[in-house]
Order: sequence, then structure tokens, then C-alpha cells
Amino acid sequence: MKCVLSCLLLVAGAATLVAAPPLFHSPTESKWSVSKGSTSIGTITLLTSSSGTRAEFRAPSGTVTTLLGGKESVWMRTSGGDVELSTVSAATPETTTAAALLLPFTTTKSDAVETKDGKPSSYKFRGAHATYTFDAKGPSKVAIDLGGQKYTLTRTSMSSSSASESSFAIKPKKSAASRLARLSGDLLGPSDTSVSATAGGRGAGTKGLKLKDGGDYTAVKNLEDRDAKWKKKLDSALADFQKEGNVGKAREE
Amino acid sequence: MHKLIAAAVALSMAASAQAQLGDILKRIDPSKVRKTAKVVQQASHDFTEDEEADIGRVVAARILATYHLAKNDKVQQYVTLVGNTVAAYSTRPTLEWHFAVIEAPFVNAFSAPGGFIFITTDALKQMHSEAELATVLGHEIAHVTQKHILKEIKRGNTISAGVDLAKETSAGSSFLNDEMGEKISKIAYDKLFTTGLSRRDEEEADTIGTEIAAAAGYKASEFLTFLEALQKLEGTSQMKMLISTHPRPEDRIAYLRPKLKDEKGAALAERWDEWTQPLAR
Repeated sequence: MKCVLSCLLLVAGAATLVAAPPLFHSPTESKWSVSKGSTSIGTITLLTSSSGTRAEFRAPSGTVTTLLGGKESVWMRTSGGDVELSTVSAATPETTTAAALLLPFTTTKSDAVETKDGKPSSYKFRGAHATYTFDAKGPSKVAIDLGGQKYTLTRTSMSSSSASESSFAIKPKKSAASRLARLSGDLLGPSDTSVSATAGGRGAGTKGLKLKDGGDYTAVKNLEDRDAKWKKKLDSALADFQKEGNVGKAREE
Repeated sequence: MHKLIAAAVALSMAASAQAQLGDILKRIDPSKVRKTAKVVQQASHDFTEDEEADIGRVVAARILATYHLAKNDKVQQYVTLVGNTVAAYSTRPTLEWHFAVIEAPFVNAFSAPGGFIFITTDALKQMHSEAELATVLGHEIAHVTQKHILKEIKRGNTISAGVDLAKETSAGSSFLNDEMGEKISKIAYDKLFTTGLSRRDEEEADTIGTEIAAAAGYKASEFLTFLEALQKLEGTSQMKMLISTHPRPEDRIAYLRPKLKDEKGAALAERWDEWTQPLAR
């Protein structure tokens, strides 16, 4: 009996792993300063609503990184649409600190959120560990350890928010596979039979250069043949590719 | 009077010199003279694009005999798209460029005359943005446009002698023959894998490479980020070859930083992540 009681007390008192609760329960707009040690590295504006969360990290240079919580995940806004943060390999201070404020949305389902008294107390995600401090108004400080680098988020202001729902709308990019295929003009797609293996390539395979110097001339021919096959589609692929990245000729238009 | 004597002496010396020259010319085999003239002509000959491409094939064949193309179509396509984007801003935009990723356990990139550009998988793994890739490819593109390897091959008199020989022995096919192939292959191997090009050529490639990447709209200062990543690898086997064939990263950073101070343009780190996911870092 004694054991049962103590076990129950343990369960009630200990931090428990449950679905993540939100940091704010009503629509709010809060501002946060972000520092690494004693150095300020930027500010975050956090918007919350009943349907989603949005954090904008602004670096001193003016560069803004926007993360959105919604559709059961955390998303990063990019020029071509929103991408799930979990698909971006680099864990930068910007994305890490902003993601820590997007609860209840987590970067993956396996992220570990610990709660205490119904509030998030710590959050492990993408190689980072965040711990939360609350005051009477809500979360007031977040300490983040990212691979040994310590970051501190301090709430500097907070008010109710009337941000429109469009601020939280997530517009996912087309699936990576289809988009990349489109951008590359499906260079490696089904062979275009109208393009011969040697078409277009300057001398691709036509000279049959094969000297007895130990070189792998078959590999060279294969490379030239590959590019000759791609050649017809390369121009349109380049146009899309450059437009999306705002580089090359697309930048001049 | 003095003037007349001087003129008579000068005329007599000239007549004597002419006679001596005539004697010398009589002793020379006319066919040898023609052959020597041909060699001299070829040594200063500017190669046609096709000739340059054949030399490039020899160098590329040597590289591909040692290192295989990475079996990753998505990354091969990506490097081709970025490479062609940058090459369009070089001084030879119409060259038939070939960009390829090769499997190799070290950080490096190579170029061969005629527009063959190779980059190792380990070099890609050190990068964090498309702009870094664009500037590294820009460096290699500059080696091609400035004909750095071609100059080294010419310097070795390989082509001049070889062209002459080849035209006599295998007219109608490639202007190269087995002997020349071996010589070119050896020079290229030494330059690319062992001794490297001159520091002047490397600096020129760094400067032009970043300039054309910037002209294509990339943030050229990302090249410094790549060099800084290489600095951290110094002393490792991954860097051994690059260090023996290029200026040290810190030296390159030192001469490039002032030039790249206010560089704007696209870094495209997110797109880099997206395309290079198949490369396990």
C-alpha cells in the first residue's frame, strides 16, 4: 500500500512525457531577444493563434527567417513555398531558437517534450535542448543548448494579437521529387528517342579517342553521351532552375 | 674620305657574312628546316576547340581511370545546373561544358581543357550553400577559360613535337597519338594531383571564379565560408592533396577577403540542402 501511494505520488510529481502543450493559450504577439552568451544575435516576433504559431527571427543584418507551426509540424518559409524543417539538414541558431517557441508544434513526432503542471518544461529537438521558465503572464525565458552553444531567449513584450489567420497559413512546396524533376527538366527521365546519344555534344563519341595511356576513355564517352542526352532539355531546365533561385539569366529579366 | 673607307669596310664585311650564311644554309637539310619551322609554328599555335577537347579527353580519361562518377543522379544534375549557370558568365559561355561528381575520399575539384569539370563527393560534403558550390565551380571554370593546364602541357613541348609527329602518322583521325596521350596524361597528373599549378594561376582562378559566380547572381563571399571549412580540416588525409596542389586556405582567405567584402547575391542554403540530401554527411 505504501509503495502504491509513493508510486502514484511519483507519477503525479514527476515530469511526464505527453503531447506537447502550447506555450500560450490565447492569441498573442510577443517579442523576444535572442542572445548567445552576452551577445545579442537577433530578435524573434512570435504570433500565436488557435490554429497555428509563427516565429520570425530577425538578425541584426535585417535577414528574416520565418518558421510556422501547423499541419502537425514545423515549417520553414522559403521563396518557393514552405518546407518541413525536418527536411532541412542544417540546424542554425535562427531556426533552432525560433522552433523552440512554436510549441505545441514540434519538428518531428519523436521530439521529446517534457511537461510540468501542464506547461512545457523542456524540449529536445534537432540536436538542441530547450528549458522553459514561466512568470505570471506566461513563458518568460528559454535557455537553449545547441551542440554546446548556449542561447537565451528573453521575452521583452507581450500583448494580445488579432493577427489574421492568413499569417498562419502553410503553403507547402510541391513534393521535392516532383519539383526537382521539374527544375531539372527531368534530365534523367525516360529517354527522348528523338535525341541521339551523340546529338549536340561537340564530338561526343564521334572521334572515338582511345589512346593507350591508361585512361578510361569509355568513361569519358559515357560522360559526354550523358550530357548530349541532357542537352535538349537543359535549356528549359536551366530557365526554371535559375528563376527559382533568382540567379543567372532569370536575374537579369 | 673617312666615311668612304668606313662604307667600303662595311660592304666587305656584309659580303663576307652573306657568303658564310650561304655556306651554313648549304649544309642544312631542307626537310629538317621545314620540320623545325613546323614545330615552332605548332608551339605557338592556338588550339581549336576540337583539339582542346581532345586534350581534355586525355586528362579526363586519366581522372576517370582513377575515380568513378558518383552514382547519384540528383546530385549530378544539380552540379550540372549550377555549373552551367556560372559558366554562362565566363569568357567561354558557348563551350560544351561537362560537370561531374566523382567519388573520392578527399576534398578537391579538377578541370581539364575543353570544359571538363570534376568535383569530389568529399568537397561537396564540406559545403553548406549553392553559392559555395558556384564559386568552387567558378574557380575550375576559370582554369579552363584561362587555359592553365593547356599552358603547362604546351610548356612541356609535348604538343609541338607531338602534333608534328601525329600529323605525319595518323592524318585524318585525332591529332593526338599514344605517345602524346601518355605525355599529356603524365603532365596533367603531376599538375592536378601532385605539384599543382602556379600560385599565380590559382590566384587568378580564385579571382575570376568568384567574379563570374557573383555575375551569375551568387553570393561570392560564400567561397570564404568554404575555405574556412577547409581550414578546419587541415592536417587530415582529406586535405592532403588539396594542400599540396593549392595555396593554403588561410592565404586564399587573406587575398580574397578584401575583394569579397561587400558581396551580395544569393547563397541558396535551403536549396542546397534540398538537392544534396542524398549525400550522407
